[in-house]
Amino acid sequence: MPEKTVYSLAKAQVPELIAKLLKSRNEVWAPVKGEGGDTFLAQIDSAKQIAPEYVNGFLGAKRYVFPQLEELFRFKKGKNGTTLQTETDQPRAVIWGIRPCDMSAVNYFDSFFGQGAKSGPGWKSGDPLPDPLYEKRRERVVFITLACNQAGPKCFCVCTDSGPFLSKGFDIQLTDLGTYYLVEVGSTKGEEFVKEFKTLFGTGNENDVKLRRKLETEAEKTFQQPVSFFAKAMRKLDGGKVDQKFWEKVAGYCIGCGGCIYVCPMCSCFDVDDKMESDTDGLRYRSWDTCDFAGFTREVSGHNPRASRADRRKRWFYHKLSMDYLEKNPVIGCVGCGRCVVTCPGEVDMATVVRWMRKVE
Amino acid sequence: MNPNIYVPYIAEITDIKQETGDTRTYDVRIKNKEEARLFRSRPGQFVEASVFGAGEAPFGLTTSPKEPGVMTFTVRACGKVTNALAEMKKGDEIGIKGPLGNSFLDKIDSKGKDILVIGGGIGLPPLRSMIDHIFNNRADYREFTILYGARTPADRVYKYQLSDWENKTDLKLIQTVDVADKDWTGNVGVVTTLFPKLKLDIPNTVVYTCGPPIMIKFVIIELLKLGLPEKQIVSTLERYMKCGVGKCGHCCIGNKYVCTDGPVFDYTEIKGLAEEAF
Repeated sequence: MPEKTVYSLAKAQVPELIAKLLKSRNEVWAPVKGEGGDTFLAQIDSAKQIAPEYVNGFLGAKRYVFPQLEELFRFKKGKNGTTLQTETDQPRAVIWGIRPCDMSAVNYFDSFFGQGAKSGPGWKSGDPLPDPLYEKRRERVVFITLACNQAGPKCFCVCTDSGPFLSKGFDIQLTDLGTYYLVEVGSTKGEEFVKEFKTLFGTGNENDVKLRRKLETEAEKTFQQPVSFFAKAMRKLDGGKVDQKFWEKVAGYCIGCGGCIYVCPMCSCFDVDDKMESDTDGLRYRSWDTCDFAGFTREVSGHNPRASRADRRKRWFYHKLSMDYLEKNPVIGCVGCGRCVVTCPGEVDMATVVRWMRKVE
Repeated sequence: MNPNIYVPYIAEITDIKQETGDTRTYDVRIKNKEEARLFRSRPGQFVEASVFGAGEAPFGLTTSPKEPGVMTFTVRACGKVTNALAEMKKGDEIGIKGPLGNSFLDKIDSKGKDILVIGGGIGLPPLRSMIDHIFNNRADYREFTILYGARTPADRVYKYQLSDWENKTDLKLIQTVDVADKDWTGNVGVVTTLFPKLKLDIPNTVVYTCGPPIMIKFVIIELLKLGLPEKQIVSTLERYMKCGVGKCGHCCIGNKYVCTDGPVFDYTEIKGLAEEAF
């Protein structure tokens, strides 16, 4: 960890900080417990709603930066033609307490939807295009992540270099040190945030930093999922060792529910459709979609290039693990959050399939 | 392109030609002068056309106009957006996003080479932008041959143009149909059955093809058998597509986005894909 200024935040100060945020920001999001006991990342209106203990929410920060339903623009058909309206304003928000895996997924989204993408006269085919909705939303949000002192039962972020602690890629990272948090600042936005609420933050000291390092080492020993060596699985995949029979085996356990994709913090495929709200007014929106459904690629002629479930499963794992894709965006498509492990009814989640892949001869 | 990649330009349908029972060709002009100035397409590129309320769908541009802001595309009415387009009349407004994707001109430089264009059915329209480009720069190219196959004579698009092309001295057009009618005197059979009729200068021929996946597959197999170098086989690929700007993920084949890496690929790119392209 590079040396940088650290701060502290007493847990007793959190309600006041959240109260101040609720006044000064449009939205504050945090993990909250739902009725059934699951944790969700949701908008809050009081610090009391923040879940006291959680591994990670049912859905990651994807729910905020890439909403399940999002308006692209509105249209109005009139006598003098059609007019289009684009919403350019996005809420100023703070996301409290997401886990390092989810923050890593947002960093991946940044490279796909935002930063580095370019358009305009210099744009050539193959260059990424920036997504204006994502960029505006991202610009106006501060992420406060909470490092994991203890890995969850299904977590494997240690294999994907996205936890249990982050060394970069966050605005503010908190480490739970009992009655207070150690506060690390990872961006200009994070620095400005601490400055804005400086009366609530204390100074951090060398002992806290030492303690944080010790906790990180200890946390790395708490993983229960016997998954590691993604690299070996990826070598098998790109070396052509993983054949169609392998995917048929995976497909045999898959019920095609799309759950893994829905909960995956890195899956970003979407559908686009129009909706009329009156005879003259309507909107175009996007909504989460999944390559696991046959309709994702089925053409109007009936021809479907990915007609079999095996082909669709292959597609998903290739996209996440193949070096072909890493050429375009040098981050593997998994942050080890374990959500697909929890969700998959057929137990053919990322952890299992990587394990199988490593054993392929 | 609009700086907001999801927002189309407002455009007007200036003409509609009926091609076959369910296929029409639309001439379209972007209404706002400033936006029109920004729209300059190259052969092989496509647009996403919107019917507000029904959605948007991608269509290959069929001409290479010198004037910015105008375009032509051919649509078969068979889905939600295309059926909504079929209801539209001259003067009606649609949305246009584009021009999108790459161009035939981004692949091997075919100047000074023999050109063989192989189109199947509704696959001829996207090739027509390249055909247009070749006619506009005819002196740059040598022998020029077009093979066009369709299911039946009535399914052929641009019939008015095809008779013009047949009479041209600097172009050889050979047509074939799968099933003939009583008036048809031309070839019968799939488009690859025309290959033996050609005298190809293999090392100096560049092929541009577009059509149903099954046709492209066999065209490529036959061309490779003839010894045509892989870089000289240039094809467009199609997939069900939503956003058209490399974000929604629908049109991916392996690690390539048909919308932003394509739609034009040469065979060296096609054969390396992690999934079957056809």
